Parts: sequence; C-alpha cells; structure tokens
Amino acid sequence: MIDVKNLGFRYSRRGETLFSNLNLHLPAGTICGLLGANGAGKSTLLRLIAGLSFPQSGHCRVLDREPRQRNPAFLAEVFLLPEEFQLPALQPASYARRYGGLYPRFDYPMFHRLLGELQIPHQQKLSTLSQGQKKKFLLAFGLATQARLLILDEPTNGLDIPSKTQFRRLLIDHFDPGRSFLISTHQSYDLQGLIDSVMVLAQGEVLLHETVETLESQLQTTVEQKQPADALYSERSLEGFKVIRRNENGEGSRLDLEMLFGLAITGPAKIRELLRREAA
Amino acid sequence: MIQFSPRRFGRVIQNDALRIMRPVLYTTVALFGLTMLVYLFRAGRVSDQAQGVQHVLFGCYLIGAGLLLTGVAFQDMHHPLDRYQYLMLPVSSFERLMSRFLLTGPLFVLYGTLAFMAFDIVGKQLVMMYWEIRQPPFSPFTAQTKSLVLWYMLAHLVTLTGGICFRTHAFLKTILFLLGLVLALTLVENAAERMFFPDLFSWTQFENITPLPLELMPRFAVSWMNVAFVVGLCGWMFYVAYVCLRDHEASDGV
Repeated sequence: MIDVKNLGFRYSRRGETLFSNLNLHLPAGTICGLLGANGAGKSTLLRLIAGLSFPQSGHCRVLDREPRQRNPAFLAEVFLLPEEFQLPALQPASYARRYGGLYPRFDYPMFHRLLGELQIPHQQKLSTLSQGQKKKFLLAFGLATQARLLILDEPTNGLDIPSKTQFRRLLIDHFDPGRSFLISTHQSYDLQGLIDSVMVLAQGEVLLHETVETLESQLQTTVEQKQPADALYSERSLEGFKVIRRNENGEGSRLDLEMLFGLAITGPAKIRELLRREAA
Repeated sequence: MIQFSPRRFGRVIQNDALRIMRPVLYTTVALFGLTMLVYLFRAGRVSDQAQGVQHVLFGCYLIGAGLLLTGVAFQDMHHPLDRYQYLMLPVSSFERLMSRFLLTGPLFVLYGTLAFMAFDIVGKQLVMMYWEIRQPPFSPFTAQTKSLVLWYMLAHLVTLTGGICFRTHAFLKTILFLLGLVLALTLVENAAERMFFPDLFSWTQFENITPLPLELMPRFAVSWMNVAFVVGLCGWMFYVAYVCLRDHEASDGV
C-alpha cells in the first residue's frame, strides 16, 4: 500500500535535511502507529504520503500511484485528518452534500449513523463545534468516504476519555483487509490495543517498524524492585522500575508503547539486533 | 497530464460558487445602496453626464470588486488551517483553477453586468421620480464597456496568478509586483533609448527632448494579429497560473 525508497526531503534549499534516505513499506490491511519525538518529521512524512509535500529525491508510491501527481483517483482513496484544521460554517448534512459527492463511494447512511454514534449535533454549524467534536466529525466523514488509506495526525488530541474509547472502537469496526490506517501520535496509550504494527521515526529514518505480535513475542515488559542487569530499557516508576527485557520464557506480555519508544530511541541497535537474531 | 471530468467539475464549481455567494451578495447589496446615492445626488442633477457616471461606476465596481474577489480566490489554499481540506479533495489542479477562473472572470463579468443593469433601471426610476429627468439606459454593448471588460479579463488573469503565487497579502503584492514591473520596463526602455540615441536626451530630463526617429511599439497591420496577440498572452498567463498552482499545492519543500 505504501512503498517509500531512499526518500529525501528538506524544507528549503538551505534548510536542514529532514529525510535523506528514508525507507518504509506498509502493506494493506494494517493499523500502524507512527511514533516519534517532536520535530522527527511525523507530520511531514504523512504529508509526503498524502501528496501535500513533494520529495526532492527517492521514490514514494502509495496505492500504486505517485502521490505528487495528485491524481483525483488517488485523492479519492486517501483521507487525511490533520492535527489542526477549521471547518466551514455549515451544518454536517450540508457539508456532506457539498463535499461527499466528490468521493465516488461516499456512504451517506453510514455518515449519518456515525454522526449519531459520535453525538455530533445535526443542527449545529460545524464552525461552532469544539475541537474534539470537529475531530470526531471529520473522522466520521473520512470513514464514510470509504477511502482505502486513512491518515490520522494526532487524532486523539482534544478528545475526552469516552471519545478516545469511541475513536478506537470506530476504527476497529471500520477496518477491513483492503484498508489501512496510519496514525501518528504522541499519546501512545491511546493506540494501545488498536494498532497491529508500530513505526518509530527518529533522526530522519525509521528506527523500528515491526508488528505488535512480533514485538510482544520478543519483548517483555515487567515491573521490578531493582534495575536488572539484562534490561534492554528501564524507567523509574512508583512501584520500582518498569523494564523491557527479552521474552525468554515466551509468556505473553502486553506491549507498553511508551517504553518501546524509549527503547527504540535510546538503543535502536539493541532492538534491531534482537529482532534480527530471532528472525534468523 | 491534465485531468478533467465534467461531472466532478460541475460539483467543484458549484461548491466554489456557494463558498463565495454570501460575500458577493453582501457586496452587491452595499453597491446597490451606493449606486442609488450616486444616481440621486450626482446623475440626477447633471443629466448630460449620466452616461459618463454610469460607466465610471460600472468600471469601478467591475475592476474593484472583481479584482478583490480574484485576489482572495485561492486564500483557502494558503490558509494553514483550511489548506489540507481543500487540497485533499479529489479534484484535479486544472479543475480547481478552471472553476475559480470562470467564477471570478467571465461569470463575474456576466453577474456584474446584469446586476449593474438592474441597479441602473432602479436608479433611473428613482431619478425620474425625484428629479423628473429621463436618462438613457446603461448599455453593456458600447465600445467603452467592451474595452473595460477586456481590460478586466487581462487584469483578472494577472491577479489570479498573483493570488496563487503569493501566500499572504496576495492582492497587495500583485499590485506592487505590477507597479515594479511597469517601472522596471520604463527604466529599461529609457536606458535603451539613451544608449542608442544619446543626442536626443538631456541629463536633466527623463523624457527625450527631440522625438525619436522610429516607432518603438510594434504596430500590427491587421486587427486579427492584435486579437491573436491578446489571446496568446492570456493563454500564456493561464498556463503560468496552472504551473504555479501545481507548485503551490505542495505545502512545503524546495
């Protein structure tokens, strides 16, 4: 679905290079969480995939098309929920009538059903909604477009706790093997139990891209009183130390995305070595 | 490759028309009031100048309102919070450009002319009631009006291109750019004339003191050449606007 090879990008002719040799491959039918520190280039990568920024070198293909061509057929299959946006002074139904018709498979009954589920007021103008409600509205619209790739940039920012639960449930309900969701976030706990693969972006490259299943089979997160010597990564917590170590006994363990991110950033070589050894 | 679908284009132009409908209607109402005041207090008193006043008003409305509307036609593409939604709609660049070109160009001229004719009819009825002066109606087919519309169409293309190329204060920057261009061309022309005919100029005056022995502006023998030149210039401007739009659809980067 997404195939990026040797991609290079920088913001201005004299600006610092953000990506010099970025490679990634995302197959169809995945919900991928994109993690990275501030300024790592998450939003830029999403814009490159959506065809809103053009790479200076390398190759980027999404749904077998080049995003930079900005072909209408491509744009109909990709929906971007930006981190910050504003909506026009229209009622939800008017918005759908106006813009939904541009998407060949826009599902109006689904859109209205989702509005009901997300408790978006039908009579209120979109511009007067809260930022969280606007996000929920645009998510409903994006799902109703039936686009094959949904790109969500910080989708849970501004959502209250019940809305975050709703958000996860909606994505799971509308996921199918022909569709992919790429979700960038700083709030890794919001993706817990939702994503099936994790991508960590830092220093202009993908430090880690692995399925949650593989990571959970190879790594174990535990809480211990003392910092163990064999820990791949550890963090002080109220209970003692939260530790990531090799999963020696093969016991199932729930992946802690924040800890995993810490491990990928501080010791990318360790995790790569471990995964390579296991694959071999 | 240029992509165009009539069905999709119909939706795009409809959406764009709905987007600008409200400000255009408010402006129309404001200009209606202004026209009535001018007709009552100016045209009503000086009946023989009425024809001149209505042309001045029509020209001001067409050029002023039309170019302002054109200058902000692509504002949503440059707005940091609006741009993603606009640019992610499944529409080709050509359709985006064509829709806004038609709405702010030919369709605006048509709307403006019809609206002004309506203003004129109402205004002249009022003049008739208050001053009992009958005045000839406004005709959109006079040579003066046609030339005004042609000038508007050319200025419109330049403003539209400026509206695409400049991310902020597009209208102001386009005007400054044009002024700079005219000034630069005048200076280059003057420098070239001085270089080839130094005896005809003095260092204390900008203009030549003796007429130049040749015609600098090309004079085409037949009128179709003038038309072809203008059409070619407009086509080139439209192409520049299209290329500029393609480039500016990318939010950042080199």
